[in-house]
Amino acid sequence: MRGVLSEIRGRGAELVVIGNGSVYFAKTFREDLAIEFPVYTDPSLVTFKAAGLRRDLGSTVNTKVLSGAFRALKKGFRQTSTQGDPWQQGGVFVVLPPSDERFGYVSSAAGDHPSNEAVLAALPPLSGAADARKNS
Amino acid sequence: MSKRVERSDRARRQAEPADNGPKRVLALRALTVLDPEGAVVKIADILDRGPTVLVFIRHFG
Repeated sequence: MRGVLSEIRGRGAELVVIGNGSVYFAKTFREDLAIEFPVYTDPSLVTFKAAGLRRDLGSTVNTKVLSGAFRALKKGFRQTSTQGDPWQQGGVFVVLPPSDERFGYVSSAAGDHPSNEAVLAALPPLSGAADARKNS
Repeated sequence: MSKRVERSDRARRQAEPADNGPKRVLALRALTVLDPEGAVVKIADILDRGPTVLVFIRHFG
């Protein structure tokens, strides 16, 4: 998703990440990776539950996850120690204000993500969208 | 499981917001998160700034 940040912003949108580790982990994540978009955290997992995201053992440990981890390792990605809830899964939602969910994806397992194309397709078109998001 | 089944499963989950989207976003708007400095931020304030790609990640790192 980070690779299409400029395309997201070109459509007048912002990429916002919510993790579930401590505030310290959120800060080091942002600083260590030089993250340029907003990062938040919810260690209580209340927002993850409200979003309908999965949290269970079966979605975390299975053969699909292991093969995905192997592929990621081959590409040079290496997961460090887990900085959050190990059983929690993620998801992606495109929301237009105030409450219009244009796209939703609930990950079924670790490594299960929507395509960038699907996410971008849910955003306003490129032309005339640059000022859609208020800066603050 | 064949690739076709896997794709249809993905399509089904992407179609889910048509039913659950409004309820989900309303629930999220009422909640808060913490910024990296520890300040409480309303999700409603984040979403009201404009179109948002809201990504919930499994963990930092």
